[in-house]
Amino acid sequence: MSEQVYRRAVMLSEEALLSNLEELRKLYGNSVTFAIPETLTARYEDKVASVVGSEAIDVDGLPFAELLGVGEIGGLHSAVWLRSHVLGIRDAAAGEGISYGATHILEHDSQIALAPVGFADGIDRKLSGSLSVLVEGHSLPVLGRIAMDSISFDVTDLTVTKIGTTVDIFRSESGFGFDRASQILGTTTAELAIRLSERAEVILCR
Amino acid sequence: MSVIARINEAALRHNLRLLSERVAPARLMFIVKANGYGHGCLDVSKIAVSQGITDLGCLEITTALEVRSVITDDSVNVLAWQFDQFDDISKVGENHIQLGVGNFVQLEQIAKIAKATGHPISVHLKLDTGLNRNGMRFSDWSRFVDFAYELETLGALKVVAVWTHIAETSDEHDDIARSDFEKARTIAEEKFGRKLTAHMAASSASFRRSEFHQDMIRNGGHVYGIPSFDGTSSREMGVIPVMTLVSSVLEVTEISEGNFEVTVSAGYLHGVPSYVAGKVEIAIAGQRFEILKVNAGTLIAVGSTRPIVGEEVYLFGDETNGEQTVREWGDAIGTLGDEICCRISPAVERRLV
Repeated sequence: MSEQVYRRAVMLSEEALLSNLEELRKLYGNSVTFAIPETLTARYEDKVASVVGSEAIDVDGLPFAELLGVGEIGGLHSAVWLRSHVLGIRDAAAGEGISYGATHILEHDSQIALAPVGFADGIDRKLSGSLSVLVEGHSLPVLGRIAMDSISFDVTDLTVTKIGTTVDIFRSESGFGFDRASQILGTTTAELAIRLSERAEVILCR
Repeated sequence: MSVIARINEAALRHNLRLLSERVAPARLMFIVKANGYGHGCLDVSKIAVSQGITDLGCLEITTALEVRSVITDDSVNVLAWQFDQFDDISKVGENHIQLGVGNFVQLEQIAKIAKATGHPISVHLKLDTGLNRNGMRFSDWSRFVDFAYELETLGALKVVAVWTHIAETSDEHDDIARSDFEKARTIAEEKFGRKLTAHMAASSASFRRSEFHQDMIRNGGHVYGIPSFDGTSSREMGVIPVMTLVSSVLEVTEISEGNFEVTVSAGYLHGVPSYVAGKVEIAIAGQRFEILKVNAGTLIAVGSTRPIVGEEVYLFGDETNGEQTVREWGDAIGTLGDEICCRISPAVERRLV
């Protein structure tokens, strides 16, 4: 069965939520609860409740970011990341630039893929030049400036990449999760993860 | 709600008028993607059309269809350009959505759907001039134009425009892009035997360089009152920032004589990036307060007057209440005002004023 293709989706891992819940119960007891901020309840509450139970959600609880594994408590798993797909692949020649201001110049003739997500999705523009994304198990550097609605990366060496291939952003397996991003930006992992594309649907996945 | 984004309709109209007059007789396509740069796509689209704007740039098919549902006048062009075979374009033709196309696969997709629905689709053929994003390379342009011509003859589509998106690397590079674009335009117009609408400039080039106007320019940031290039302010450009982000004072503590720490009901959950701390100021009763820290739902600022709990706090806006502009915020944190605006949480009410 082919994988569902998303233009942009905030992936919410059921497995990570359950493992975080278990760890946090060890630390805070079985009645530990989590507070989903008002600005996020509509997007998250039902989905999270379907995994951890509605009794685990309460306004007086621990910050929601802890359950997502992106708060201040160590040893948890990041339960969210952004998913998109390859929207186009093009040939580009050595010496040509990528994106605005041509801050990246290609050293070789390359195949450049574009994914339709950008700083409007919480991929902070200041991560231009450092961000890597996960494509078919490979961590690929994003080339040039992150635009409002697109990022580009080199897929020359990935022979099976095509339109529709999944692109994961801020997924810990890429080696560029929220921890790396927050170090570069001087912010918290919670802020980046919680404010991940608010125009994207939240998709619960196994 | 503890934070409101006021959308100043008069400012939007002013900017549209100013920028349109500046580029006339070229038309101004108003870019309303990313929820109208966070301002509320449908509201700003309606205002723009009532102000005489005839072209709206939407990026995605879904956005274009939403815009079309409120802008039913077919003489207003609604353009989407970021799509692939995973996008449903079956409603595009009958809803008079125009598509920007930059590769053969997209043309084939259009041909197939037009045949199935019986509705031809109007297209803008896109040349790449250095962004390496989604346009046709110049070396393949003639072949691309020939294929589009063939599909037009079959009744699948109608070519209405040629366009590109310049990389803004330098004026010199942009001049090369313009020269290539003019050649590409000539090739297309000769093939189709008629004049096509040509557009290449976005906010920056359209404002600074009249030779980039052609038949139409595309403006997003400037229309929202956010200058896109260095060395200028909204005021100097003559545009008015459209969004004013307003919150209120939650708590006040006198930390030392004449120094007050203020807690404001706006935080990163609403869209105030935490790294503005120490870099920007907000205004309360016309006095500036420096942001010290941004929490999830609140922020802490310090100043030398005592605010009243419940008083309005101006985070950024059009300077009327002593606040900074979003462009100044962007400069302070090394990004574009556009990024800050389009990241204001959807949970924050956009209120037309």
